[in-house]
Amino acid sequence: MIKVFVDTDIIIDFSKEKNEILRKLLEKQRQGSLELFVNPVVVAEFFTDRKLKAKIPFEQAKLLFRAFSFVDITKEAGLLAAVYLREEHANFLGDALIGATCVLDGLHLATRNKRHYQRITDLVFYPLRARS
Amino acid sequence: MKQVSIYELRDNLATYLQTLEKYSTPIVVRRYDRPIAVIMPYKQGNIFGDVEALFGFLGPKGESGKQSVNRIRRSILEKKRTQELRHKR
Repeated sequence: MIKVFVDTDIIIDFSKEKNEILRKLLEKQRQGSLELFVNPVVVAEFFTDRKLKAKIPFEQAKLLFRAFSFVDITKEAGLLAAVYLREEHANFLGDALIGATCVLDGLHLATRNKRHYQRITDLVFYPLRARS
Repeated sequence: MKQVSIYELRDNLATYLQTLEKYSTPIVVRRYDRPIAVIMPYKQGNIFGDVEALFGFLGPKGESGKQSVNRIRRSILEKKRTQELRHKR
């Protein structure tokens, strides 16, 4: 079973009907061919949306996150993220922490922002087709 | 609602699952007298179906995911902060 880390942009796109990527991933998870993961960076970014101050959308968002397994940001992930930032493999803390989490836990990264992770050479991307 | 310790559940898992399936009653799992999990009977749509139905729950207006993440995670200020961390010490 492939373990896939889902970046925030894909979850936001799902919540705003922008594309079908997460729907397809959820379907594949239901069929048992992959398992979806997020970490606290994704949760924090997603819940930043002001629409989630209202109770119903907030509860819906919490329900949505029940579909994901959570992977913690460990000390090792912090140290690896620091290497990525120091060596300019990543320019932003969020990207570095997500990249490090994926590399350490063997997760394939599903993102529409591949460009920002491309210098993290050990990272494996999950192939996406926006319209499929 | 039935309650069970993790040890009791471990030793009699098959029996508990059979009971749960038969009576459709959730089981609360306790560790050191503290409830830590609920085992629910599986129904079509009660986990994944509900989640998939949330497609578009925040409405179609506004930024795409890519734009939102660039704004939240990859602002100019954030880039400056990283550069400062690299060079200041």
